[in-house]
Amino acid sequence: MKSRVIVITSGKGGVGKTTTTANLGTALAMMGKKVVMIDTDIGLRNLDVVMGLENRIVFDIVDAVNGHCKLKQALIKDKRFDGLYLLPAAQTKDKTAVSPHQMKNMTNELRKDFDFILVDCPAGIEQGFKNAIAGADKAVVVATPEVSSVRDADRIIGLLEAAGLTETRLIINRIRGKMVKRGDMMDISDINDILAIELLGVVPEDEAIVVSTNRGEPAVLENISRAGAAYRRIARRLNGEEVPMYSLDDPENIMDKFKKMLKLAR
Amino acid sequence: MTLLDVLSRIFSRESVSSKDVARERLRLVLVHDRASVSPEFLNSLKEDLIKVIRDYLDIDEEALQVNLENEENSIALIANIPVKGFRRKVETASS
Amino acid sequence: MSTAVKQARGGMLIDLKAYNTFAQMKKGLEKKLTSLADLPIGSKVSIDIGKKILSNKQVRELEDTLLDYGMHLEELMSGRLPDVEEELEEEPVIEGMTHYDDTALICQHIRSGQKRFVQGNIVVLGDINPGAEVVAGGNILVMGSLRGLAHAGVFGDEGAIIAAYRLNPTQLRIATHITRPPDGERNAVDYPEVARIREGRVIIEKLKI
Repeated sequence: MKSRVIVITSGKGGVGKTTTTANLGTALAMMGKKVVMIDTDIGLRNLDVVMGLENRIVFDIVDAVNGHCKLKQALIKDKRFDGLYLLPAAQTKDKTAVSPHQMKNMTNELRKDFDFILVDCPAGIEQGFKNAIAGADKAVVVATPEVSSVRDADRIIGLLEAAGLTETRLIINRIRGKMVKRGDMMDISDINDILAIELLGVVPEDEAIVVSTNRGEPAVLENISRAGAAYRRIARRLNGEEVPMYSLDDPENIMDKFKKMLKLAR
Repeated sequence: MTLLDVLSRIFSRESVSSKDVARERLRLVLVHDRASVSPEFLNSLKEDLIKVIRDYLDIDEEALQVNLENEENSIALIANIPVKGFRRKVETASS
Repeated sequence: MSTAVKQARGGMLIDLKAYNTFAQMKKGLEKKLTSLADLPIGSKVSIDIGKKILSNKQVRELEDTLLDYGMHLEELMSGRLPDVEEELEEEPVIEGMTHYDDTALICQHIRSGQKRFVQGNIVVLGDINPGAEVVAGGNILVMGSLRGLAHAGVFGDEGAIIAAYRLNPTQLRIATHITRPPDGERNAVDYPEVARIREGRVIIEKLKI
């Protein structure tokens, strides 16, 4: 299989890029793929803590790029899956420690050994963003159903196109079925109409994400997590499988279903 | 949400759902954003406008101004084109 | 082993050349002084320590011993001048510790993304948070919580130690050894601890001084 370099970006911070990277990487590894996740948020690294691998870091992306160590030495093997690796960002340097050219060379070197190279992009549109997209073939834009997030996603899609990345797909994160039903949250079609790019998946708001981040165990490992299930489906789509879209009906609405059955609801 | 919001939501009949407000605001913002992403956008629009108008009117090309302006609920294309005179013969219109 | 006592420049000269360690030297002096108990109080005594070098603290101990017997130290005769470069014979509290001339005192919390490096020792009056790094050529002492990364003896000193009021690090490194806490375990002790290399492994134990 030809290896793919996919950058996960959003423009706005706090919409779930890192959570998405950790969950998609883990889900792809669960499917038996060889995956490396690259944290390009130099100076504000987080993917290591979300994965629970923070205490294994010896070398980082800056060491690897500047030749202080071999690229393979900087890769941290996941504690759960054999085919899953993390290339951590440096914490005590800044974004200018790496250049887009170096990133491109590095991702190309990783193609030899991995099926999927997932690049976790920092927030913003400056140097860190330019580094993150430099070696990517495809992009995944994460947006939440908020005006600010959708606006930033639109800007990012434009910048990705300008950089020659036309195969960009959208993940709508943290959608709340109840609020959408009430008309207090933009739904999938609202966002899709505005951004007009292919939808890769929808992830519901889920408290299990907070718990799994606390523990350093991605939510895809939990069978009961709804967000985890959504990420597993997205991972299959990334792998080229046809998977139907997530339904917005959340379990809290099970009473509504009863009411409907009993013809009590309107 | 404050208590007042809750009460006004319960008692008001004409409540517009907040997601529609969000969608409309986004639409307007993005029209502007997308246009201002490239400064070349306005320039090429300006050049094309001149090309078309020149056939009909004698205009002051230097003083021509084109801008997108945000008004209350809409975005308007405002063009300020000083006209020096009318052209009598419109050759291209014959085709 | 006998201790020679001679008259010198009107005072008493005690010869302690024959003793190897400071402890023996001190014991020999006490024995001699006991046998000279009939000397008048306030007598001045010179001590010959031969080729040995004593630290200021040890000299003070000898003076104290003399004072206990009512005598003053006139002169400390040594075959060699104390050399600054020379390792002083002062016994460190923790065995095997190397002496470093420079020690940096850092009076602040070191937060994620911050890094401190010192050629010698580092003393931090504050916490080292996760994501922060403290790197020392010598030893690291944290008068607070060590939750980030500490690297002592970065130039290869295997005798370097890392001590903290609360030792809860992301990772510890001493010389070329790297360790991390075991997965799923949380250090819940409420006493200061010290990490050092013993038999080629980094071990952590209660700090006792």
